[in-house]
Amino acid sequence: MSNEVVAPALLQPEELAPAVESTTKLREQLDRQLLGRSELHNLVLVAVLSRGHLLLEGVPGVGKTALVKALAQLLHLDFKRVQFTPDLMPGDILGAHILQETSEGRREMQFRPGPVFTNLLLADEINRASPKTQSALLEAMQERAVTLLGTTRPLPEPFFVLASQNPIELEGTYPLPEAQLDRFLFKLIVSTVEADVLDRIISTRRHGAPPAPTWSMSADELRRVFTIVDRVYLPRPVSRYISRLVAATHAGCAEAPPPVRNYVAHGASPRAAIAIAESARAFALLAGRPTVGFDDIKAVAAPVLNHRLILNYKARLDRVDAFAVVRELLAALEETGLNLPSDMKVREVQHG
Amino acid sequence: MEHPNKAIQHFRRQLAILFVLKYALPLTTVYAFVWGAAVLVLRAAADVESKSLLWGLAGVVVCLAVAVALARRRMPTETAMRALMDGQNGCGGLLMAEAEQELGGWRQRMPSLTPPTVRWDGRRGGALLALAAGFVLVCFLAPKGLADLSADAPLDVGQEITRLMTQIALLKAEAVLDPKRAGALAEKLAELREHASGKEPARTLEALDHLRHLTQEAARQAAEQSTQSHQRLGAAQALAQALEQNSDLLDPQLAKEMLAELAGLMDDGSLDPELMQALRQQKLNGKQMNKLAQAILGNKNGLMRRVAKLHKAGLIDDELLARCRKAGECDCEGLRDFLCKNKCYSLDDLKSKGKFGGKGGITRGPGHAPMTWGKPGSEDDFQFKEDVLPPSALDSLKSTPLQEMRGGNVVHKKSSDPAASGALDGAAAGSGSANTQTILPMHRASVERYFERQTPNKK
Repeated sequence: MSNEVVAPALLQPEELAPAVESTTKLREQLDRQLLGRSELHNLVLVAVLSRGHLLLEGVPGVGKTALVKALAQLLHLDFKRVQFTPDLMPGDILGAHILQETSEGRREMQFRPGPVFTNLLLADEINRASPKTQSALLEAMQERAVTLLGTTRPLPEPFFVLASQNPIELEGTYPLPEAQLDRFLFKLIVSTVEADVLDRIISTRRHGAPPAPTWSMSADELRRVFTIVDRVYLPRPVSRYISRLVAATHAGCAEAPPPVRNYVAHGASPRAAIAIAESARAFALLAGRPTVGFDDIKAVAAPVLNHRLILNYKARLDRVDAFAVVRELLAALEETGLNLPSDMKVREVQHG
Repeated sequence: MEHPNKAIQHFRRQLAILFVLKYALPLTTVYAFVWGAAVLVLRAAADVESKSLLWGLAGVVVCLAVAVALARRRMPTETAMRALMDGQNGCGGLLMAEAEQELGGWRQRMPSLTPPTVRWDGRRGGALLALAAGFVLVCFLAPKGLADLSADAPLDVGQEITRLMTQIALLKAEAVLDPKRAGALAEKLAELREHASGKEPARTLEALDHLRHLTQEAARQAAEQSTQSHQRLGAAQALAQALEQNSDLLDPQLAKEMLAELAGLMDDGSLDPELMQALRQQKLNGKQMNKLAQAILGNKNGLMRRVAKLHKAGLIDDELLARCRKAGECDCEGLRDFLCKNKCYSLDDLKSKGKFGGKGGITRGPGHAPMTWGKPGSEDDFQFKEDVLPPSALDSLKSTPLQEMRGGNVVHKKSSDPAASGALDGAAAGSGSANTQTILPMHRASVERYFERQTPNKK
């Protein structure tokens, strides 16, 4: 019996329209609450619609926690925040068994769930916790379940980990291991906003508090959107392009461009290819399309790949970061597989 | 809006044309150069007509067919072309999905498609093809003579033949060669001029050398003959002058014999018969004697003119010319002085007396002065240097057997033979340095032939 998934029929405009409308409203509300970050909000929504975990990196005070809070509020999801510190123990996140006396007078070990049992977990400053505590999240993030004392408990559906980390205070921090980084769908850089945006924040908001949302998405509606995302069609040339793209992040690949050969020590995993495909679907949905195009792949490639590429010391010496490598990779790899001879060039179509 | 399939087909056609051109240009260029070279070779070597070589155009068709086949293999798949169209026209995957899914309501929302254009720089290939076509054209239009390698390169022997012709004409005019022989030689020369070939210059040059040798040999013989005649005439002139100017000093017998000798010398048919008759009868008067001297001088001058002509034509060398000139010189004054000093009674007496004396010195005179001997040498106080043979050489000489030839057979003498005593007693054949060699059976016949002897078996 074949395990191949039979592609469902292409989403028709009338099927797609409600989901597009909902996600558009969601984005609008997010943009309304947090000013000047529409591109970031788009990618955050892509991660949420892809049911992926998100790592936000930025200096303190740029609105990372506010973004996660606003998202939880808009999605009507259960939200918990854990401030990661060096003395945080795995039990503090996952929960623990405690001895309790029942009404009948019997004493038994009862499980007290930790903050991970929620829909939206904000792991604030995740790199401050010890590797032992960080790795406590591995199963939760990948399996969406927690196993304690031999009992596996599923996490609520949906479950997202939105972690933040501070890139400047490195003393007393524990860099996330590659295995855990790989479990984050995106790593997004949250940068400071421009002066105009700051002016609007100061003038329109007291203590920076965002306005109350005028619309929110119910859990059912979110599930329906998830269903629609799953039905967004990934054409074969596009899936082929994803495969080639991820394969080309390895220096040994024939299609790897010179920056990859020079600077990448370890390329992206198959999980990265899956992440690109899933996030590209969500990206296409947000763009109002039932199919994934090459541009969707290019839009999500950098946030998916940047934390998965392990660069060598030469890259550090040459001050080359993963974003630059991905940018070069995207520019070098011909997406259609036309494979024209080097002396033949396709002239770009000029659109009116 | 152009229908997606039409746009893709349009793009496919464009791409196919470019691919065919891309492969056809180098193939045709290479073929054109090969074809041109073949045309040149065939026209030059095999004398093939240009028109029949136009069949080579079929090769261009083959090149095009190969280019089409290569282009077909190299053409991208329709999926790739569709992906390119999708990406270039911002279809967001709809065009790609169309190949796999039913678009339904999205068909109307598909953006208008514009086939992308593909750029290919074929200027270099085109220029090379033009060059190759030009080469083919030149190979076809090149003059046949220029291309004809089989034609003989001319061998420039005209000058030599002209010289030989002149020499032959001279030899004919001087009666050195009879007209028939001269005509045959001239004919051969003309034939050589016609067939002189750069392909086989040795043959022509050898023939010329042969003819040159023939003419020079004929001229040399004629010159030698003239030298002898000149010498004879010189002697005759000396006799004539002696008879004319020194008749008072001559003994009548000597004069008579000198006239007879003169008649013998001049008996070659060159003299006037009347004068010759008078000379034979020894009844020459002064006038006739003068006439004879003039005739001799005329003959001598004629001979020298002839020899000079041969020399001028390069038929004889300077040495022969000088020899001839010298041969006719007559020392009339010397003869007169001799006759004054020596009373001769007959020609033999004159000749015998003339053998002695001379003018002295080692370079002048006849050189027949009598040899004089001083005190004879003696063997006293002379001793030959002795050379002692090394013992090994002596031993080998001793061990060499004696041989003698008896009745044509080689007989090995036994050591007990009393006649074989001496230093070579008991010598064995082949082991020493004596001049004895064992004649091997294979050489027997040669040795016998050399000595022209017959073995008893063959008798």
